[in-house]
Amino acid sequence: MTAAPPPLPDDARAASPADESGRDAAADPVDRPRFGAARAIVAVLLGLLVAWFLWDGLSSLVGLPAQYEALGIADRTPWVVLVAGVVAPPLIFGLGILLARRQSVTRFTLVLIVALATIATTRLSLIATAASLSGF
Amino acid sequence: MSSDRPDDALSWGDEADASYVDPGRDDLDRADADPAAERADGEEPSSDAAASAERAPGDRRRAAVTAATGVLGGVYLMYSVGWILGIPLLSLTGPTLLIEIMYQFGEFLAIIASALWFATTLALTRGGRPAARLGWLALGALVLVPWPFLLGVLA
Repeated sequence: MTAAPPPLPDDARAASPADESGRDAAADPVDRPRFGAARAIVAVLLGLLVAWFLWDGLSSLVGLPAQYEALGIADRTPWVVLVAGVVAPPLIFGLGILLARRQSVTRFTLVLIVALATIATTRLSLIATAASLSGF
Repeated sequence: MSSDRPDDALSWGDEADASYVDPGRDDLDRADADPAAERADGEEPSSDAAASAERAPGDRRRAAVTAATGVLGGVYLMYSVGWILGIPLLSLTGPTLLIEIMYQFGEFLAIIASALWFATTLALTRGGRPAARLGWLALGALVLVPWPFLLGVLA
């Protein structure tokens, strides 16, 4: 390796203070698209499916322990899995919204669809885990 | 360095000096390649050697990223197969027709999840850093593991 000193960053050399402040002032309105009606509509529509997954998780959390008790294996109720089934859908969807809120509406929709598919896989994985934990 | 110019401490040196190397301006490999060219009996002009030496690391890195993406693509393909094989092992039925339909739709989403994640990651990281693309693909490989298949086979 040559013993060359690292170069000064180009912007530090080229930009003058006046340029800097002008650039900053112009950057804000352009770089931050408002969340807007289109993204809100997409989020609400896809959120309906999330709401179904959430309802499915809640009904399992409420109904399954009673079934386990009736079968006499109440001590093997997979509580962690049941709670995870309720927490996961809104968490994953919320993460999707958070990550993609600044993207174009098309990309935003795509990311939320991937989030929905991830929720679906998570739900089935949790069901499989619960079944194997309880020895079915 | 002259000691009666305190500003010397604040600058990298005299840019007009012949030994000054600015990686942003000069071709570093030319500085490296000169001794090598002398040893190599002048097989190629040293500017060609420098240019190809500069291209090779970038090409190798790009090829490595493409190879890693290909390997991860294979993993995602296996995941899709795992989901297709594992979901029937769960045998979920819904008490009403509507719930049954939703269950089927959920299973459909799970089967296409791996392909969707892979395609979306590639599409959204097309112009970006390879680390971001590989990071998202690695995350998907952890999140989308087809547990119904794995647990059903290992049971």
